[in-house]
Amino acid sequence: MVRDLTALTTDMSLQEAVRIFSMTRVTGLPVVNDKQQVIGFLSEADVIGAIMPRSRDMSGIFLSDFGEIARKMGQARELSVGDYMTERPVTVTEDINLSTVSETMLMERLKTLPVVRDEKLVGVINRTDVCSKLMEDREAI
Amino acid sequence: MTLNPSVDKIFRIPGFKLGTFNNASEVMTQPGGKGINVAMMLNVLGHDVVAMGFAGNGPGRMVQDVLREVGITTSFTPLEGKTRTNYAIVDSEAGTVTQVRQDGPSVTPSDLEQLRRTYERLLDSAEMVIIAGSLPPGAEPSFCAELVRLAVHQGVRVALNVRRRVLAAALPAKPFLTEPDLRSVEKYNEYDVRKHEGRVSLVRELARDTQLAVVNAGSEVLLVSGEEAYSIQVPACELLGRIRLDDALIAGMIDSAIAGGAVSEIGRRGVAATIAAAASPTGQFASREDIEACIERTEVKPLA
Repeated sequence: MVRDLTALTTDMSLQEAVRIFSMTRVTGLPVVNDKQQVIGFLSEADVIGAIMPRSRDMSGIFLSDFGEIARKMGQARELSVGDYMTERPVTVTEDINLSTVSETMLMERLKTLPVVRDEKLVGVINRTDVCSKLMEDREAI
Repeated sequence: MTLNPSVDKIFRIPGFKLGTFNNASEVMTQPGGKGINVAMMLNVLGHDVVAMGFAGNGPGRMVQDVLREVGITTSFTPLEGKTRTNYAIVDSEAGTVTQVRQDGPSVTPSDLEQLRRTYERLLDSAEMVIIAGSLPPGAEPSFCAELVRLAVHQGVRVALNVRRRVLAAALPAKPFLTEPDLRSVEKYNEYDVRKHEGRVSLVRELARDTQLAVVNAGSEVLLVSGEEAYSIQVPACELLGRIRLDDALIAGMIDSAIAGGAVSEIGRRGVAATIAAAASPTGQFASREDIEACIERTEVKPLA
C-alpha cells in the first residue's frame, strides 16, 4: 500500500483533477467527502470519456461529435469531478491479501484501489505495488 | 505541517575553506524542513504521523518517497515548481556548521485553498497538529494563523515552531505550544535573546497567549506554563546534531505532551531527545530507549 492521502473532491473541476494527475504522476485518484470518506474514483479514462463522448453507428464504428468535443474542452473548468467520477468505487481494507487484490484488479479492470479504514481513506494500492509484491513472493517460493 | 519542505544535503568537510576546492568526507541527503524532521522523529517514537504541506517536482517526490518508506502517511498538496534543496557544511575541525538555504517554490491562492481543505478534512482524525518551519513565497502569516484557528476550533491542540512574524499572527488563535524559531535572531520584539534575561522576558510574554511557551537558545531551554516556569541546561552537542536540535526538542516535548506529561517532564524529555538525536549517526533519529537513557543528563531548575 502507498500511504498517501492525495484525493479529489466532488466540486473540483476536471481541469484541476488533470493538473493533479499530472503533478503527482498518477492515472486516477479517490474522491473523498469532507470526512475523508471515499465516495468515488476519477481516472484519466473518466476524464477522456467526459471530454470525448462517443457513440457507435449501426456497423459498430465509433462516431465522434467534434462540435461537442470542442465545446466540452472549452468547458473543462466547469465540468466537475462529482459529475464524472465512478460512484461507490471498489475499495479494500488494509488486511486484504495479495491474491484478492490481484483478482479484483483483473476482474474489475482497475489500476488503483483505494484502501480504507472505517470508510476513511488511508492509502492506495496500485498495479505497480501488486506486481512488485508478486515478484517478491515468487522469489520467496 | 511543513509548508516549505526541502531536501537537505549535509556535507562533512573537516577543515572547510572558503573560495577553494574542498573534499567532503561524507555527504548525506535527507528529507528536510522543520515539520518533516519532527514528523520523522515522532514516527520513530511510534506515533501515527501524517506529513503534509506543499511538495513540488523533483526533490519533492524524493521527500514523499522517503517518508512513505519509513511508514509515514503523506498528504502533500502538489506544486508546479521544484521543492528546494538546502545545504549544510559541517566542519568538525573548526567546530562550525555553515548553512545555505533556498526560498522554495511559490504558492498561489489556489494552492493555499487546496491545502486548507485537505487540512480541514484530516483534522477530524488528528490528536495534535505541529506546524513548523518557514513559509513558502506566496503564503502570508495569516494563512498559518488560519490553520491554527481551524484546529483549535475543532479542539485539536497545535504546536508552533515558526518565525516571529508568523508566530505573532497565530498567537491570538491560542496554540497549545509555541516555540519561536530563533535561528539567526539577536532581537525578538524588544528582547535581546542573546542574553538570558531577554529570553526569560520573551518566554514569559509568549506564555500569555499559549499554554506552553518554550524558548530554546541552544545552551538552555526555558519553559513557562501558567505559574510554572523552568530552565533546563543543554549539554554541548555534537556538530551534526546542532542542525536539527530544535526539531528534536519539539518532537520530544510533543511525545511527552501526548502522553500527558507534566510541564517539567515535557521539558526534560524534549531536551533528552536533543541529546539523544545529536548522538545518533544520522543526527535526527533518537529512539525511545535513547531518550530514556539521556533523561538523567537533564537538570530542571525553577526559573526565577
